[in-house]
Amino acid sequence: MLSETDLVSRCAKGERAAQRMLYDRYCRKLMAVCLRYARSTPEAEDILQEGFVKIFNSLKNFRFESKLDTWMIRIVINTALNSQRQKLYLMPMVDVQDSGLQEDEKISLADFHFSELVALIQTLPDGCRIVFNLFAIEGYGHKEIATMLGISEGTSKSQYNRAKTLLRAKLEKSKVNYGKI
Amino acid sequence: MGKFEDSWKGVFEQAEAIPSDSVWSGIDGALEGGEMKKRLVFYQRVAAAAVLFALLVGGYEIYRWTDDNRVSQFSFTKKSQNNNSQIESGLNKEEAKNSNQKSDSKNEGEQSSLTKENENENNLSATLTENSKQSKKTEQIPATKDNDEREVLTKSKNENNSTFENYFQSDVKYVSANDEVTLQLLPGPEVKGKPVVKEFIRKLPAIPAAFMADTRRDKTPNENVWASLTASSGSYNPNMGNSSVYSAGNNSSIGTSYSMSMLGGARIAKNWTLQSGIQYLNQSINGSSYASSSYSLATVAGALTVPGLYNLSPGLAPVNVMSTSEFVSVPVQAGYLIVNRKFGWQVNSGVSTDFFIRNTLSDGQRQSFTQSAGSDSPYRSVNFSGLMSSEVSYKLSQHYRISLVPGFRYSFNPMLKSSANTSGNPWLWDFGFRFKYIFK
Repeated sequence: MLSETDLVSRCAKGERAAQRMLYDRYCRKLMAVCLRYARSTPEAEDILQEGFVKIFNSLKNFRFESKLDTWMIRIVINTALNSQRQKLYLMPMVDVQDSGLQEDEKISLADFHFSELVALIQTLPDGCRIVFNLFAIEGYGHKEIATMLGISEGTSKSQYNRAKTLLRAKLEKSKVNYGKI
Repeated sequence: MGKFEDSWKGVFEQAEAIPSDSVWSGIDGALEGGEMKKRLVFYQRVAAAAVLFALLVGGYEIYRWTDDNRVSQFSFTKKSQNNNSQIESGLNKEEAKNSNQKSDSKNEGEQSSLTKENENENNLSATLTENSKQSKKTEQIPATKDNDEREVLTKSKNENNSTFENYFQSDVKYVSANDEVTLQLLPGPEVKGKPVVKEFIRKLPAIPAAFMADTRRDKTPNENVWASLTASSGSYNPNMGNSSVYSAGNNSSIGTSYSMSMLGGARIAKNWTLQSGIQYLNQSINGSSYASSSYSLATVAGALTVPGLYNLSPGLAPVNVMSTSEFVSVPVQAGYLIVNRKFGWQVNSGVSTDFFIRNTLSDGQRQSFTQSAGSDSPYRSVNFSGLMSSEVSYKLSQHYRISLVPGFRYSFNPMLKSSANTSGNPWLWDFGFRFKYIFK
C-alpha cells in the first residue's frame, strides 16, 4: 500500500491508477459531507465529482501543511458553497425571528439513522442548511460564516437558529425523545 | 457550542456514504477532457501560429510578385508575317536605320505591352502590339512626319515579356521615321492614326533609411577665410663661415630670432588651405671679437663680409659684437588639415621671399654699424627660404582660433653675396603663437 506522500505525488503527476486509489480511499467520507450540503443525492454526487476534479488538479500545490482529508473536505465544502452561491443570491438570507427554544433542551440523535438525519438536513432551506453545516458540524464561527457567505453575522445567527428550530420540529414530529440541553 | 451542536457533529464526524460508480466515470472523463483540452489548446496555438506565418509569407510573396510584375509587364514585341518591318519605338535620333525583318510567328499566347519613354528632345513613341496564336493581322501604318527624327528599338522576336531593361540589350533595329512599319494586331478594328503615346509615372517605393541622405550635423568647423597674427621666436644659425673675426674663444654660432607676421588664408579644398602675408624677421647673433677693440665696427663689418678685405689682428680684450639682420618676408604656404574640429592640427609647408633690410653690428659701447641692401651691400637683397611648420589650434568661438606654431625655416642661399665670404645657408627654428580671426 502506498504511503500518503507517494500517493499524492503520483496523483499530482496524473497517474490515473493512483488517482483512482485516492478516490477509493476518501470518496465515502467526502460523499457524506456532500450529502449534508446538497438537497439530493444526485446533487451531492455532482458536488463530489466536481470536488474530486479540483482536488486532483490542485494536488501539486498540496504541501502537507494539514491533514490530507481535512484539505480535501475543505475543497469539497468550497465546491458545495460555490454551487449553492447562485441559489443564495437568488434567495438571500434574511434575519429570522428566534424560535424561542430553551437552550436546556436535550436532543438525542442516537435513535436516528444516518440517512434519516441527512434527509432531515436536506429538507432545510438552502441558507439554513449551509449555515447549520458550517456552524454546527464544521465548527466555523458566525463571523467566519458571514465572511464566507457574504452575509452579516446577525443573519448567520438567525439562519442557524432557524435551522435548529426546524430540525427540532422535524425530530419532534418523528416522535423522538428530546433530552434537556 | 452546545450539546445540540455536539450531537450533530458526533453523528457526521465519522459518517460515510457510498457514491455511485458514475461519479468516478465523471471524474475520469473530466480529467481526460482536461488533458485533451490542454493538448487541444496547444495544437490550436500551433495551428494559429502556422496560419499566421503562412499569411505573412504569402502576403510578402504577393507583394514581391506584384512589384516585379509592374516592371516586367512593359514588354514590347513586334511580329510581322510578310517581311514587314517590326514595330519599334524610337529612342535615339542619331542612330536611325532602315530595317526589315522577317519574324516567326509566336505561339505563346497574347502578349501586349505598352511603353513610353521621354528623353530630353526625343520622344519614344509607344505602340501597341499583340501576337495571336491563330491569326495575325498586319496593318500598314505610315511613319510619322515629325520634325524630330525618330527611331525605334525592337525587341528580339524570341523573347517573351522581357523587362524594360532588356530592350536595351536585345537586337536593335533602327528605322527612320519615313519608313513604313507594319503592326501585327489581334483580329479587331485596325489601328489607325498615329501611335498613341501613354505616359506612365511609376511610383517608387519608399527609400529605405539606408539610402536616405545623411542629415547628421557636420561637426567640421566651417572656416573658409581668415586672417591671423603670429609672433614667434627661436634659435637662429647664420651659418657664417668667417669665424676668424668673431673668434675669441667665445663664439656663439647659434643666435636668436624673432618674427611678427600678418597672414591671410583661405580654404581651397576640404582639407587644404593656402595662406600668405607679410612677415618681419629679425635674426641676431652674438660674438666676441678682438677686432672691435682695436678697429671700428665698419672695419669689423668689412672683415666679416668681404674676405681678405681686412686682416685683423687680435687686439686687446675681446668685445662682444652683435650682428642683427632684418628682413621683410612674404611667405606662401599650403596647409593640410589633419584634424579639423574644435581642436585642430594642420601642417604647413611653403616658401618665402625674404627681402633684406639691413644688418647692424653693435657693441657694448653703443657703437653700431649698419649695412643696408643695395648693389654695394655685401648682403643679398632677396633671399628665398623654405618653410615648414605644424599648427596646433583650438577654436575659441565661431570667429576666433588660437594656435601654437612650431616651425623651421631654411634659406636656400647664403645671406652674403657670392663674392663675399663663403658661408652656409642660414636656418632657424622657432616657436610661434598665432591668433586667427575667421571671417567665414
